[in-house]
Amino acid sequence: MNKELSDELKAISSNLLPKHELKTPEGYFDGFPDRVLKQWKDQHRKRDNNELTLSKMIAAAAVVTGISIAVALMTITGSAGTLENEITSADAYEYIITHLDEFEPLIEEPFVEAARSDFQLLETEAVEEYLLEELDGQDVESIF
Amino acid sequence: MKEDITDEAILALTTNRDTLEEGFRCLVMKYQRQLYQVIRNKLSSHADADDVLQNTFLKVFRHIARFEGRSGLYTWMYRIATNEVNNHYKRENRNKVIFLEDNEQYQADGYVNMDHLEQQVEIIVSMLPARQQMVFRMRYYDELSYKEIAAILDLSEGALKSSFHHAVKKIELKLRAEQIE
Repeated sequence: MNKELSDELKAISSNLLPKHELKTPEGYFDGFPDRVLKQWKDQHRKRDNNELTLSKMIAAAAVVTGISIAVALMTITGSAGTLENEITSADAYEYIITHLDEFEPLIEEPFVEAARSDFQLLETEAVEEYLLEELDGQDVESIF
Repeated sequence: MKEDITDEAILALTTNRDTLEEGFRCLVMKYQRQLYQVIRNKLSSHADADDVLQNTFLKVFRHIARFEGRSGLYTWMYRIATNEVNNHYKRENRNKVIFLEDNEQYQADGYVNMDHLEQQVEIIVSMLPARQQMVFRMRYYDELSYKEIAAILDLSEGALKSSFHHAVKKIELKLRAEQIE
């Protein structure tokens, strides 16, 4: 008990003696600071690890999201850019005309034959009627 | 000696990352005995008191950066220690909870390892009016100064002194009466 309190009690009471100090195991207060500081460090380390794990997870999620967005953008701009910016329809037409030989293998013979036979099935009168409608009375030869 | 260091010096150490641990060590060495007595007086075993004392200091370490100095450092730690005792009782699911703010009565059987006179005193104290009981416990058992009690209970030091003296007189009268019987 501190002296100030002990003196105060003595001055006002003869019966109420200073209470006994509660005893602790020997050396308790010598080892206590180290124990509590160790516990604090362990808790601190654990918290840091948790924060690090969380940071890693956030970073990984950010990278995955970034890559996904980049791929999506590249796909969109890539397909549109090829058609709209890099090759115009005029360029494509010119290329096909000047490289017509390269496209011949792509035209399969059965396809050409089928188209030819389909055309032969059409009746001559029906063709003439269609052309007259489409030409609005103009001479068929005038379109060539 | 680390026990002689001022509170200001301790707080200054804890504000610097490099001296943080040293600051905590000084804090523990300076106040461990005082806080142990406060906690031990409210708990039935040394093991429980040790557990609560550790939790008290760990909480102090965690929150010391937010300590604003509106009360004294010890008063602040005393509040934390008292709350930790309450938390301990809640955890243990026992009925000896001490709510400082609610002015609830301490339980007479919350104190063990006493001699006969101390047991008698405790029984008499538990019958005092709530305010006298609280002031007596904080002054007698927890050895807080009037200034510290005033900061915690928001009462004047004069009123506290008067309450404590009245409580002591009542206890003394009861003890005398019991000795005559």
